[in-house]
Amino acid sequence: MSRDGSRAYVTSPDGRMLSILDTAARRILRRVPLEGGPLGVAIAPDGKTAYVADWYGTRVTPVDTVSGTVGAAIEVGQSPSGLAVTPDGKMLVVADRMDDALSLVDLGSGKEVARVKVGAHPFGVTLDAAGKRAFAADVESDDVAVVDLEARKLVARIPVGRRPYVVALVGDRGFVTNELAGTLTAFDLGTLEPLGTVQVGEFPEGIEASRDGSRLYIANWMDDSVSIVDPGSLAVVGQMKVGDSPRAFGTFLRPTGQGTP
Amino acid sequence: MRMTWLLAALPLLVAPPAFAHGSSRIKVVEKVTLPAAPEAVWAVIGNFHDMSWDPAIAGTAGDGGNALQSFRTLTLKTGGMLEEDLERYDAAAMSYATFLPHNDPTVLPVTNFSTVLTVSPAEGGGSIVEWRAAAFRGYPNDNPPPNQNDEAAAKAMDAYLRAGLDGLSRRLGGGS
Repeated sequence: MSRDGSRAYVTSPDGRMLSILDTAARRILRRVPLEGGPLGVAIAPDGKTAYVADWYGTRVTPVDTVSGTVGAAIEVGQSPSGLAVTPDGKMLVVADRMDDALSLVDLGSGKEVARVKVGAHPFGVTLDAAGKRAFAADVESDDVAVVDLEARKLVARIPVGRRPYVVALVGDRGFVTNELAGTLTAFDLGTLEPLGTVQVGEFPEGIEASRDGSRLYIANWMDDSVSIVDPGSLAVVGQMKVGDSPRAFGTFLRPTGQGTP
Repeated sequence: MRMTWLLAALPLLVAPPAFAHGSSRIKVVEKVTLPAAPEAVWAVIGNFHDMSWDPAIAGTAGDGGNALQSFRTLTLKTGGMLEEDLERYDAAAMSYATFLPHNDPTVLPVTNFSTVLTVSPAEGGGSIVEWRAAAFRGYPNDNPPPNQNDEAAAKAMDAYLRAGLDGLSRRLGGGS
């Protein structure tokens, strides 16, 4: 999703393409054919470039969001998964799933400048608003890795539930969906300690907070629902039935100016 | 020159890059409606270490109990074994979830196989048993062979669930 919510970007690993959607008109603007298995996608803060990771390879491909032109591939580690761009647009952070590491890429030169070891099989990557820290969900070691992007160092690994998927941040708290456990774990961004866990749906995957930070929305892939959670009390305040197998890997809420989200 | 090229290519031929799983997870859902009350059905299927209700399973071995991370080894009548752990157990909701951390793709052509078994009341009496399964295809890399692609995985998972629920239905006198 672009920051203003006007565009949505959808990857098709089997169809081998990136689709760009006009969210207001609800139509597909462009389909960009890509090689390999396009899965993770992140959008530059200015909305001009989409970065797409090749799940089967070792590269991230930049795509011009207006022209659909595919740029020179950025070499990273094995099986790049989650991606995130710092708010200043200067750095791309990539979870190299099979290398148990995050690649830090300088977007000026298009080159990887550092590789930081995390836990086993990092998947989703989320950056804080200041672009100082990265939070990666380590699927196979059941923790969230916290990486300092300036020092290029692992700061902590926070133990969470079974098979964490991706992190969302609200205020002074982080939240991670634990796929196999069917839970959400909250952790403190100051102490980097877990705060509590709540049961949501089956196979919770995508998670995003409303813009005002009052609600968390969690897509439950297995039971076709979205859970709505109060980030303060960790109470499940709503459950919506949705279409078959909802998932999101990245942001998925569109601001419309009509209340939450 | 030619020799150099061959030597450089050799490691790739010997050890292709290994990946954990394919790119798209597959979901299969099967259900059966039974005349018995949910509590009676749960009494038959609610023990993680007792799969005797599933006619495809020859035997269940494990450490007993329904504690999380318990392990069970299912021996299939067709041969082969499935070693699953217990990921969630909720007696009040009459539901439990399993995960197969390692798998022999000749037994089931899948990886990361997980299931959720749930009993709920049916409208007008009786119960509904729902068995959901999720997995990636057996071949983890790009361009899978036909016997290990997404379609083969979905077919095998569906057959596995269906055989179990049909057996349960015969045992508990269901109509479907």
